[in-house]
Amino acid sequence: MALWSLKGKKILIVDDFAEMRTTLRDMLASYGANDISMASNGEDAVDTICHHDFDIILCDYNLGDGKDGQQVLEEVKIRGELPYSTVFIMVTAESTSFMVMGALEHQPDDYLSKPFTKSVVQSRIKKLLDKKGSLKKLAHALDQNNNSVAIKLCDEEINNSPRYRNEFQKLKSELLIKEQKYDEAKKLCKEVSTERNLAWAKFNLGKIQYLQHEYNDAKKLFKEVIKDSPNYISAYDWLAKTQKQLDEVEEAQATIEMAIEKSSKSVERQRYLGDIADQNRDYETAERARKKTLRMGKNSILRQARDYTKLADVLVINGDPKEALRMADKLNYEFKTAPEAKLSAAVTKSNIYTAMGNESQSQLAVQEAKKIFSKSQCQLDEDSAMNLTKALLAHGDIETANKVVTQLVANNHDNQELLEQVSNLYEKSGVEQNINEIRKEITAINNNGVKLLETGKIDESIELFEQALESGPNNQVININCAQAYLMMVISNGIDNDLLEKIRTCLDKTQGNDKLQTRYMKLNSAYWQIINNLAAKKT
Amino acid sequence: MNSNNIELSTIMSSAIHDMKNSLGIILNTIDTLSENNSLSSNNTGSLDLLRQEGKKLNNNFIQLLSLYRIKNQQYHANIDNHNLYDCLEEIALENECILTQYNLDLTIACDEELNWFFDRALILGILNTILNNACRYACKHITLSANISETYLVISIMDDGKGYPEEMLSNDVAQQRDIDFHNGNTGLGLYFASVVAQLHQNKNKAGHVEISNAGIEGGGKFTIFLP
Repeated sequence: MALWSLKGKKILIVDDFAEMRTTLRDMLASYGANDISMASNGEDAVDTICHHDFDIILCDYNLGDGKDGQQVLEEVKIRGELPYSTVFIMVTAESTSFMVMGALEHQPDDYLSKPFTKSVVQSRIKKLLDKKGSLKKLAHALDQNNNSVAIKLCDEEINNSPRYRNEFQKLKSELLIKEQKYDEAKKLCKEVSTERNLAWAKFNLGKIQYLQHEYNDAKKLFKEVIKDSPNYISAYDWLAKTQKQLDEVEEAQATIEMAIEKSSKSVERQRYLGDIADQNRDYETAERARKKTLRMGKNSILRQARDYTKLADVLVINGDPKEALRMADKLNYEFKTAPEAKLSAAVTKSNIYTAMGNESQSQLAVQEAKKIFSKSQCQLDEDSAMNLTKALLAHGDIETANKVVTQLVANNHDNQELLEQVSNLYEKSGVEQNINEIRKEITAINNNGVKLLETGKIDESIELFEQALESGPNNQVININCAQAYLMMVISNGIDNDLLEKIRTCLDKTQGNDKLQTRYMKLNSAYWQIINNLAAKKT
Repeated sequence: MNSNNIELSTIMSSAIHDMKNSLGIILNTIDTLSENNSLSSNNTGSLDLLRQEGKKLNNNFIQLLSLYRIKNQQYHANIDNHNLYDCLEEIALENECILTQYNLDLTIACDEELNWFFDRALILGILNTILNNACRYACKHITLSANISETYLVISIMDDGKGYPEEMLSNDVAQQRDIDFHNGNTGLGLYFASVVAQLHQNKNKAGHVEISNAGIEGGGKFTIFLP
């Protein structure tokens, strides 16, 4: 034990009490730690973690007014700034541990409850460092989202180390779900459940049923998890999602409200409540949820422009257009450098003025939106594009509306539902539209590209895909085809760093698309194989 | 329960919570004082006593708070998979000072790869209190052991002291509704242990605790069974 030292380990201590920071620092220093950073609030902690690599993070759960320890953990994990090799220990006062220790989706490596002795802290840290040290390969695979390799490494741990078997069975089942290997995942979850009812296994079974569209089975499973473990917050989130799929929207709202009662500090959960309350026309709840979403997302990357526009929309409905205008202005100010957000702000303003009966101001706001759109060539998401089109058509600017719609269709030529909504908008305004022609054009380019690729004319196919991406850079179908063409190019002509970067960009744009997931997985793992071979050659 | 009662119990629980935090600071300060070696040798004994009593107080607070939450249905056992050797080693570390002070040997009898499912915070809380008590009654030796017997995890703490008094052994611990709290910490500790054991359930089986004088050379033996 005497030989063990924390010398050279990069350590971060997060606590709002100076006294506690000093106590912890002195404790660790007595074990040789000489590279200790400190943060006194959640915002600083997130910032520090994003800009530096740490071996060990000791973070207090209770950090005063701002973000709490759990939010810090969630944010850095979501941002991909917490490598698997870092030891993250949540320090809790006994009373809060009851809330935190429930099964949350993002778990720290360990909890340490106050008061603790020096020797206990040392023993915990030592064990965690040893564990992470023996899992370097797995850490690498997980950090690169290389799931198939990570699954193999989990198997090794499951077979060789009884100490961590349960943990790696859980991790493996999650990775199998990500890889869409549902049957295998199901088998694993059922196997571990024979001896004992395990909340995570039942929860993952529910998730699998959901992903296979067996919503009634999923609902039953999630409800059982909640009954057995009322603190299993993710089960509420998934139950609400399931109820929404079953058109039980009121039940879904009740479920998500229960989750918020248990754990109120999640920005995403508040946003979800806002969406679902909107759908239920429960505008009072919607307003409250939107306000909380904004307040909790303050200074966080989790805040979205949509949080302002949705609040403005509901404020108009609830009869407070003045406050709605204030929100649009705040959005405009806060996202100064993002043309998409400024554009949303302008469109929202135009809607508010229309609701107030102020046509001239409304017209001005639309002009502003139009200016931003033409000048900055921004790529709008579906919601913003639809809203802008609606406003433009309402003010008779068909030419710009057509431009917006051209972009929208170029980015989503295979989204039938969306295209129908656009058609309906035009129909309502009594304006002729050329949506089908744009769609046909993109489809033709895409089909030709695929044909060329099949016959081995890689260069020519890339030319076509790139041409289509010029008008619709976010088109997921084109992006995945283009990624495949680039990959074939790399395989036939050898490594080219520019091409590898292009593949990554294309793949990133298709991530999260259900229909394309299987292809994404295949191409992504081929991509990582190339990268890993490259790395192996270098060393 | 009328509103006055609810208020009172809430106030009690938050007051205990506050006291516990102060105690945490006191305990840390004691550690710093003893590390600085700034005290004359005849005072270190007093410091050890302070620390020992402080720890006891802390364990009591945790038990009270946990009982309050369990009884109010605010606590749901957080069952996860844990390594027994790590847990036993940790409570041995927690009680390092008192073991040294009473000049006691501690043996851990447990397979290093033994894992089981339980609520770590609750079970460690129990074991901590029982070990702390055992230290007061033991002559020279204490043994911590854990193994699997049929479908239960069995954790025992054995000492070589004079054992539990006859009247405690004749009572079923789980039934001690009107437990003899005149026995002080031991009584509360055992009551808490049986409540926590019962929170642990699997396949229609619940946990339970047993006390006997089957410890080392007829000393006290505490055992908790977890399904």
